[in-house]
Amino acid sequence: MRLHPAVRWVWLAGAAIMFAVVMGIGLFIEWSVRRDMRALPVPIGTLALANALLIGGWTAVYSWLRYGAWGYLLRDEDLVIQSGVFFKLRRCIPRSRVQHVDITSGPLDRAFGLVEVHLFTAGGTGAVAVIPGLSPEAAEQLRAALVRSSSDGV
Amino acid sequence: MGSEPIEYQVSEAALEGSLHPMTIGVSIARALQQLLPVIAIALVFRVFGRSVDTIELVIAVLGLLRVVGAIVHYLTYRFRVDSAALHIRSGVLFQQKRVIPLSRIQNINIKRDWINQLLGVAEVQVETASGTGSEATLSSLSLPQAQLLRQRLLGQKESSVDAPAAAPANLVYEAGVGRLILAGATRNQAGKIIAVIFGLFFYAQQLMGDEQRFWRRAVRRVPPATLTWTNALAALAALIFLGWIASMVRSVFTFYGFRLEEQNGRLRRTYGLLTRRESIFPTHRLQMLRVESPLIQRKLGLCRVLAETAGSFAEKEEAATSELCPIIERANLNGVVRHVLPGFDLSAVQWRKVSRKTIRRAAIRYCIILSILILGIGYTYRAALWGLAAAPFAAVLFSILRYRALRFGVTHNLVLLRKGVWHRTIAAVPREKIQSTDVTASPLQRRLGLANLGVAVASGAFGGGLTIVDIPTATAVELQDELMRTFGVKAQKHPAVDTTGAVGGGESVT
Repeated sequence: MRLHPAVRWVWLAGAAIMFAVVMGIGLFIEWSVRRDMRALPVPIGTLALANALLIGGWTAVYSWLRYGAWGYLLRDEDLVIQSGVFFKLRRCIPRSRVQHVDITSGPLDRAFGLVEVHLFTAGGTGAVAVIPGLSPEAAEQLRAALVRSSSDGV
Repeated sequence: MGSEPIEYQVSEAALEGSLHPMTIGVSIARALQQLLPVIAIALVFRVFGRSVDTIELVIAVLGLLRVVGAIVHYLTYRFRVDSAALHIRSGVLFQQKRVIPLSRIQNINIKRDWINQLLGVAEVQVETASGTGSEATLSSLSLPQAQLLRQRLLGQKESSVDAPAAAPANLVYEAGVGRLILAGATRNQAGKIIAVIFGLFFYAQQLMGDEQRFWRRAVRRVPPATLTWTNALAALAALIFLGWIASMVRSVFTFYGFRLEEQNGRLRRTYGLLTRRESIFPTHRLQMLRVESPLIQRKLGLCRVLAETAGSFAEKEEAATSELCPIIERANLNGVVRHVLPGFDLSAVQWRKVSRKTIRRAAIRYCIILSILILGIGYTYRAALWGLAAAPFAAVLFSILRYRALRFGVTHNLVLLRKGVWHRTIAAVPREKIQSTDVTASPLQRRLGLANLGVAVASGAFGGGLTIVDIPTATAVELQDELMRTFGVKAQKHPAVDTTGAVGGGESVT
């Protein structure tokens, strides 16, 4: 099963916000330390724009690759998750080991009508797996299937 | 029949009441133990004739507070066991009522440190599945009362119509003082000893002021004739020897009278000289078993068995890892381990090699690490830079040795990993304890067609497990699916909801 295609835009938007924040802080520091912007060989605006285009382009490519690498599949005995553009991961979680399932959605997810599914097993800290960018229906279906088949898991 | 009413009475007493009055004594002893360094400092100052009024006052106030606290704790602490739960009520200002359902109690530890032993009482730690550490600690009760309480709390889980004490205990494993000394003597602790020596050394320098003065003063004290290399080496040897003795002493103190006994299908573990520990080994919570043998032990056919259990053992051992056997002959290993892992047989494991290409990866890694180390040392001692020439050879040699030691195996109920050139470790995970499995591949590994297979279990605070490195990707994925089939029987009860669509579409790990 693939993720929802819109997740690429969520990732891109997230990166854009992150970029804007970092860039803003950087520019502010630059401005407060060196008041005279004209001292630079290239106008600061041009630099910022070039930076934005470069990083934005890379993020777009990466988001598309990441989407292509992502996949999950509910099998008879387990849930298989595959991800990773450079560092590949294939994780299998036995259905009977799933302790509980959370469905969450951040503001960006909601803007695109998507949710995340967090899976928890016994032991360890945090979720054993996070499936991003699912439609609420797909997430609910996955949760129902997982919760129905899970039992005591230590 | 005649003894029955009496036992009933004793049981009733244990099921409801307050702590042993000696609890106050224990608290005072603990406070004294904690304040000992401060008192010692005060004494030193007094000897040197300086004013200590403030320190003494602080000690007195702290001590008084502890005593009052202990008395209040004793007077307000009440516990009760009914058919469903253990109820504990304590506190004056902040009253706390805790109810622990008996069905949730996983284990009861009875702990006796030297203060407890001296005052004839015991501490009862109640463990549940959730969280780390013990859910409740009853400190202190008399030993018979503690044992009775444990019997009641654990006994409720199973039908305990017959008195559990009636069944004879069957000795599974025992380690005498001689074997414990051997365990301490053969455990590879040279590294630790050297670290401690260096630590003390730098500490001494710090205390004595700046480095040069320290050395000059030290050199002036000793006659020049004794400052030879042979003497320095002899001093180092003496220190290592002392550390070796300390290791043996520590082994005896920690594991004195180590016994594993089976009684009513439970494994009871008792050990310790100053702090006597007694607990039921939580067999059902075993997540991973580690068989460790440093070089000397391996040559002598000996090993040490550690068990990793889910949740914590509430005892101060390495995280959630605890000793199953401090030292045992390899020949007797299977017999003991079978009590916690039925059907365990190391000799039946078909060990498989990882890919030979792992040598290349490891050699590159070791070469880089070695070179950085040598460059670092060479910054001060130029002569060390010659080591750069030897680094590649050393790296390749060690990589080959590492590859030879590296083996994995998958049996019908276990996943095993063997590794370690000198300190050999065999890790075994029961297949039904697996929480999740990972096949991972870095860009370099993918170029070589390799992947790692990781098996996660629920032991330790951050989760534990083992990772089989550098096996062919196809083998890794195949094994991963094979391991998941362990859970097939359970899953068949619940038909799959949606299995359409290929895994990961066009992109896959391979």
